[in-house]
Amino acid sequence: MNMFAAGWGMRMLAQDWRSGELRLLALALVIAVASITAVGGFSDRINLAFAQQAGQSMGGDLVIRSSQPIPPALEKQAVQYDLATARTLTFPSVVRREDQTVLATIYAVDDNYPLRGDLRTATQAFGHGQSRQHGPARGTVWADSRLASLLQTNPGDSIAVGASELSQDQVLISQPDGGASFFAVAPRLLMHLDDLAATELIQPGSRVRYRLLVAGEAGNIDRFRQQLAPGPEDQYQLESLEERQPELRAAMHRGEQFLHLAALVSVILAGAAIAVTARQYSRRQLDAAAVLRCMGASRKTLLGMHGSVIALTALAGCATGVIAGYLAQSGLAAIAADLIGTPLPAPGAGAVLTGSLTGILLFAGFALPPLLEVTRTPPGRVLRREHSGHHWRPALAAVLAITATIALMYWHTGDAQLTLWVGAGTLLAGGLLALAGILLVGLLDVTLRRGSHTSAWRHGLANLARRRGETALLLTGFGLGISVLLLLGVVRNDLLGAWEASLGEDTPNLFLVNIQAHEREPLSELLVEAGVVEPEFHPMVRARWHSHNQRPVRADDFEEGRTRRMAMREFNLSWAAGLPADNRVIDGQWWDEDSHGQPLLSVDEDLARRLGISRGDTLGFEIAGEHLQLEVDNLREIRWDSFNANFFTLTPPGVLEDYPATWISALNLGPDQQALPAQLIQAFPSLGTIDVAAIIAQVREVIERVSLSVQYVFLFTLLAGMVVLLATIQASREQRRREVALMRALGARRATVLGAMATEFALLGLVAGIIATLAAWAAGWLIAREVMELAYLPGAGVFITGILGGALGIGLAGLLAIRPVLSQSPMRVLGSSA
Amino acid sequence: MIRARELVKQVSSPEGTLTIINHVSLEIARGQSLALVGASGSGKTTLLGLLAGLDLPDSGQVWLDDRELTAMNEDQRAATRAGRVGFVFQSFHLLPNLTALENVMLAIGLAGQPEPKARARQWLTDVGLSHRLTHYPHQLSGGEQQRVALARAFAPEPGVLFADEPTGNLDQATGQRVAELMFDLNRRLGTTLVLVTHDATLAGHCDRQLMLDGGRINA
Repeated sequence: MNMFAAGWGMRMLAQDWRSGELRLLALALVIAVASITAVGGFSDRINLAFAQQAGQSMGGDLVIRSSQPIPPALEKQAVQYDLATARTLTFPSVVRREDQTVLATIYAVDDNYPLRGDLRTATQAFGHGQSRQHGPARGTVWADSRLASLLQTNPGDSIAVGASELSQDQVLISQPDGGASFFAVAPRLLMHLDDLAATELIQPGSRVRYRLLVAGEAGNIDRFRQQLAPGPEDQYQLESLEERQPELRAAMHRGEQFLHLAALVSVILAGAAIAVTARQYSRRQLDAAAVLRCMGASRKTLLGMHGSVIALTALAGCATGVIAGYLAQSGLAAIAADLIGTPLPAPGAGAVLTGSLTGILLFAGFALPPLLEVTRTPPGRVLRREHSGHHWRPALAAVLAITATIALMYWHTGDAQLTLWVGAGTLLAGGLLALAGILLVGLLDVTLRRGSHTSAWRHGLANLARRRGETALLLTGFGLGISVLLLLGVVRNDLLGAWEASLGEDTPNLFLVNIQAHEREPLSELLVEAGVVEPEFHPMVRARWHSHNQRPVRADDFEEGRTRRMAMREFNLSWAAGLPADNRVIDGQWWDEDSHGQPLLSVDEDLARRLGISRGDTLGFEIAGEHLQLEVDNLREIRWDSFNANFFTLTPPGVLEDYPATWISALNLGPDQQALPAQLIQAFPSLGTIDVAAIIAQVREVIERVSLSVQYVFLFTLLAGMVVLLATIQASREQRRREVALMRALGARRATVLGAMATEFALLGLVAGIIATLAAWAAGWLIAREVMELAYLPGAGVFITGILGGALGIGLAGLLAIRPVLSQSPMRVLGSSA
Repeated sequence: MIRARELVKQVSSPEGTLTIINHVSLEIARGQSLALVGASGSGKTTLLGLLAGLDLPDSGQVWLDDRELTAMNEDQRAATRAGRVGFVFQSFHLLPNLTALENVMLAIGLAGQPEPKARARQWLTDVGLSHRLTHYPHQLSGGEQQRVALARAFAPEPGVLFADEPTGNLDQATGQRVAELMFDLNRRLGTTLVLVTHDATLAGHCDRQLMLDGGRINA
C-alpha cells in the first residue's frame, strides 16, 4: 500500500465514518471480538483453576508412587528445583480398641502433608468438619467416620496401632488425596510418620505404598518431571494431574458449552451484520471508485485507499473488542469467584489472541469480498450506471464467509458437535429465510396481478415483489436477528431451567458400596424403616481386562498414564436389562430380550475412545480366575453429573450372575437423616459409604453461577442481534430514500407513504418472525437434546413473541428508520442522487 | 491527438443485439474542440466513453497520443489517463467525502504532480470558489459543484478534456457561465476538447461538430 493511497484513505475515513456503515461494521466487530475474548479468557481461567484443583485432589502437583521406599535423592532433586515435598506411606493393618478390631488403611504422613488442598476433621463421625492445614500431631491419630463408627471411639480414646497406643484426636472427614473412590472401601486412619517406627508394623515384605508429593511453580514442576521421565518404571510411577472430580468438571463443561454457544451466536450475528453493512458500504463506494478510475487511479491505488479505511476500522474494532472482552471476562470471573474453591488464576494472552484472530477472520470472510469488488469498478460507470462492477459471484463470498466462521467456531470451542449444530442450524435457517423471501415475492406477484385498485398497502406489497433480491436479503437478515433473539430467550429461561431441573431435590447424595448379596434385603428393610425410598441395587463384578480381540493387553500399549491406569486397574462390570435413564446409546443399539444371556458388552464412549475399543471388538476378562470373552455391542454416552450409579461397562442380564458380585446403591437422604450412615455401618460393617452431598451442592452452585454468567454473555448476543436488525434496516433505508422522495414528489400523501412502508416492513417482519420462531424452536430443541443432553420442550410464549414481535417490531423499527426521510425535501434527495 | 478506427460497440437487449456505435472512424487534432451532437440514444456518450478509454469497443481501435488504448488493460488505460485526460460530467461526480479543495488536490496527486495543495487552491480561486475551499459537495450549489469539477479536470493540465453534457444539470444562466469558464480554460491551456451536448449554442462554440445518428457519423 503506497503512502499516497493510504493518506487519501485516511482523509476519506473521517467522512465515511459519519455515514454510519463503518460505525456499524466496527460495532459488529467489537461485539464479536469482545464476546470471544471474554468467554475464551474466562474458560482458560476456569481450566487453569481446574488443573490447580486437580493438584489439590492429589495433595500435590505431582505424586511419585512406589512399592519401595522412595530414594532420598529424588526428594533432594525436588528441593533443588525449588519445590516443596511431603512424604506419605500407606498400608493395610488391623487396628484395635478394647475388643473391637477392624482392618483399616493406615496413612502415615509427615509435617508437610498436604501440599495442596486441606484436610477436614470433626469431633464426631460424619460431622461437617473444619479445615486443617496439617495432619495429626505426633502421638495422635485421626480415624475416619467409618472407622470411628466401627470402633465406636470418641476424641480422646486410644486406638492400638501395632505395638503403639495412639490417642484419637479428631474424626477425619476428608483428605485431599482420598477422594470419593468406589474402591477405597476400607476405613482409614491418619497418623504421623514419626510414630510409625514404634508401631513395628513395617516389616520386610509388608504391602506398603510410598508416596512423595511435590508442589511448586508449574515451570519447576515440568523441569523436575522431565528429568524424572527416563527413570525406571518398576522403581516408581508418576501420577499426573488427574481429574478427581468428574461430576463438577462435567457441570462446568456444560456451563462452558452454554457460554460458548452464546459467544458463537454473537459471532455469527456479527458476521451477518458485517456482511450486510460491508455490502452496503461497498455499493456506496462504487460511484466514487469509478470517478477515481477515470482520473487515472490504478486498482492498487483504490485498494490502498479502501484498504487503509477498512484496515483502520478493523483495527479499531478489534482493539476495542479485545479491551471490552478483557474487562468483561473480569466480570465473569467475579461471578464465578470462589466457585471452584481456588481463586481464578490470571488470564493468559491466549484469549486476546483468539479474540483478535476472530475479528480478522470475520472481517476477511464477510467484509473483504464486497470491498475488494469496489476496486474492480469499471470507469464506464460514470457514464452509465449499468456498469455495476459487481461481477463477483456472491456464492463465492458466501462460501468464504461460511468457511471462515465454521473454522473459527471449531477452533474456538474445540467442540465439533456444537459447531456442527450451530453452523448447520444457522445455514439451514438462512437458507429457509432466503427461500421464503423468493416464495413470498412469487406469491405477491400473482396476488397483485389479480387486483387493480391502488392503496398504500398494495404499494408496499408491490415494493416487496419488485425487489426480489433485496426482499430475500432483508428477510434473511431480519429472520436471523429474530431467531437468535428468541433462541437467547429460550436458552436463558427454558434450557437453563431444564438443566436445573435435571438436578432435582431427589438427586442421590449418598452411595452405598460393597453390599453383599444377602445384605440387600435387610438393608432395604432398614432403609424403608428409616423413611428412605426403597433402594435400587446395582451389581458390580470385579474383573481384569486381559485381551483385546484375542491379543493380550499390556500396560505398554497405552501411552498416556491415565489411560494406562484405566486399562490396568480392575473393571467393575455390571448388568442391566434396560438402558439407564441418563445414558444414551451413540453407536449400535441397546439390547432387547433376545440378547439376554448373550456375551455382549456396552461400553462408555469416552472409555472406549481412550482404550481404542470399537463396536464389534471382543474383550477378554478374568473374573475370579475364570476367563470370559465379551463382544462390544454398543457404546453409550453417560451423564456423570446426574449422580446416579453408572457403570463404564454393562452386560445384558444372564451373563455375570454366576460370578461373585457386590452391590451398590445410590440414596437421597434428607437433612433429618444425617445419622443414618453411622447406623448403617454399625449394622453392616463391611458396607462402604460415599457422601456426595458436598459435590452436589457445588454442582448446584455451578449451575446458578453459570446461569448468571450466560445471561451476562448473552448481553453480547443481544447487542449483536440488534446490530443485525439495525444494519438490515440501514441497508434498505438508503434505497428507500429516493423512492420515498419520488412518491412525495409525485404527490403521495405522508400517510400513504407511511402506510406503504409499514405494510412492507410488517409483512417482512411477520414472515421472518414465523420462520425465525420455527428455527429458534428447532435449534433450542436440538441443542438441548444433542449437545446439552437435556429434555426440553418450548412453551407457546416463544411462538407468540416471535411472530407478533417480528411483525410489530420490524414494522415499527422500519418506520422509525424511514421517518427522517419523510421530512427531507424530495428535491434535495432526488437532486443529491441524480 | 485522438484517433479512432472502425469502432463498433454492441449491447445485448431483450430485442436482440443492438449496435450502438457502427463503424465509426475519426481524428481529432491536438488543441481542437469537437462537439458530439445527436438525438438521445444516438451513441454520443458511448462514443465519448470509447474515445476516453473508459470502455472498450467490440472491434476497432483508439489511439491517444499514439498510445493504443484498445490494446491496454484497464490499469494501463488508467495510468495513461492520469494527468493526460480530464473529465467533466453532467452530474458533476465530485467525491462526496472530500472537500472542494481535496477533490482538486486528489486529481493533481493522482497525476503525480507536485504541490497539490497550493495548486488546487489556485485553481479553485481561478474558478471563483476561493471562499468554498473547505465545503463538501453537498454544501455547494449545482453551479459551484460543476466549477469544482472544472477545476479538478483542468488542474493537472491534461492534454484532453472529455465533457459529457457539462451544463445538462444547470439552469441556463449558470450553464452559460460554466460553459464560458470551460472554453476559457480550454483556450488558455490549449486542451483538446471532446464535448457531448444537446445544446446547439454550446456545440457552436466548438471548432468541429459531429452529428451521430443510429451509431453512425452523419456529418
